[in-house]
Amino acid sequence: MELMRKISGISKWDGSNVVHRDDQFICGDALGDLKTSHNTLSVWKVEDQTDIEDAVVALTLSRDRVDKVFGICLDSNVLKNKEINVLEVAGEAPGIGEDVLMKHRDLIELDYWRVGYLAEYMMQIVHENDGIQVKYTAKMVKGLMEKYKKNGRLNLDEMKDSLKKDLHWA
Amino acid sequence: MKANIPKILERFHKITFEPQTDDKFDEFVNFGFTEKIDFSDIKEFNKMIQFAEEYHFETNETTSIDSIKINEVIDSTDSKSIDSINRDMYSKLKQFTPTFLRLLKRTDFEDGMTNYVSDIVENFIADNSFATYFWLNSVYSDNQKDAVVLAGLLRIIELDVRKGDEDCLLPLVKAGLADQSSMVQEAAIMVIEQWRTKNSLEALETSSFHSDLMESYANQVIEELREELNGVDA
Repeated sequence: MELMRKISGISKWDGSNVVHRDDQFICGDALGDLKTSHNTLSVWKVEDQTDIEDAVVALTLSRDRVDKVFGICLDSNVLKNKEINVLEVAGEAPGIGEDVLMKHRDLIELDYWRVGYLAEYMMQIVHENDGIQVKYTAKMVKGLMEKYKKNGRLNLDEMKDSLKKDLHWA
Repeated sequence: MKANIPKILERFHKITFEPQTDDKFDEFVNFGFTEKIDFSDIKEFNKMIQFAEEYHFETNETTSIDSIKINEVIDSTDSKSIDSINRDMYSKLKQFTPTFLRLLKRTDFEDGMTNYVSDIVENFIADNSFATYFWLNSVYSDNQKDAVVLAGLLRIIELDVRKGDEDCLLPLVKAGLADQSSMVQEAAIMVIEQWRTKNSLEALETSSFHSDLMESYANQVIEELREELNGVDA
């Protein structure tokens, strides 16, 4: 199973943020994208393109404005080897159905080591494997939102007013 | 409902401000500047006054509503008056700059999320856009070595300056694209993603980036804009 973790800044992961020390490893700023809450981290199950689109829409519904959504896909087997456990927890995104929200997962019981392993694994994916796999520009996100609206998959009454205004839906 | 400004000022004048800063400062400033607070609600009003009384801040960092009174009615079209109003607003914004910088540095900008610093600037723009743009330019000029401030400014511009006024701030965005920090470059690309104009496309096309990932993001936006603006005259 693959799990997508959104990242907020390309600059935190692209290697340009240098820590000025001889033994420098991953920059501290990258850990800002792995900020836990109650020792958990939010991810979305993404087995195919539909899942990725669902995750991008769900993440956007929590925002005030349409903006880019970039994410890194994690292999749950690799996480398991690092003793990072995954729990099915319904996501929270106003305006989307339960079928999407049920694709949300939490990485749980994360401690100092587990967050470190995760950062190392994500950095490895970005620099040695596929780069940033999920790359939706603001325009692509907008197009996706329009598509979901057209297909009747969004409940506009439940959506954030600020986001609807930005999309010119209100 | 709008804030009852005279009533607030009356209470403010009774407060003795002393140099001191702490974590409650942000909360106070947020209360002081938002116009969304219903001050007819006595609980909300008292809460703000309580913040002011309990958590004083440096007097040289002017933050009172008195100094940034942004709801003046402009009832003259005389060019001298307009210039004077703009200069007055700019001068008040300059006084607010130290506080603004401190708030900016403490704010965690998350993609697509507004925050109280962006809300404050949005209010300034709504009141006097040209003075505010001029002020934003001056803040950028004064902090060219501080990537956190530059990126924060660009993130605010991305959130608050949408359509129509892009060219007023394009030189600032172009400077951001040329900055030595990837964080600043990324924030500048995000502004262009929102503006989607021919001039901003040219700014992006004539820039170079510090990493392959950033270049890939910029190229994605360039490709979209070229397709979108194809056939549009300058």
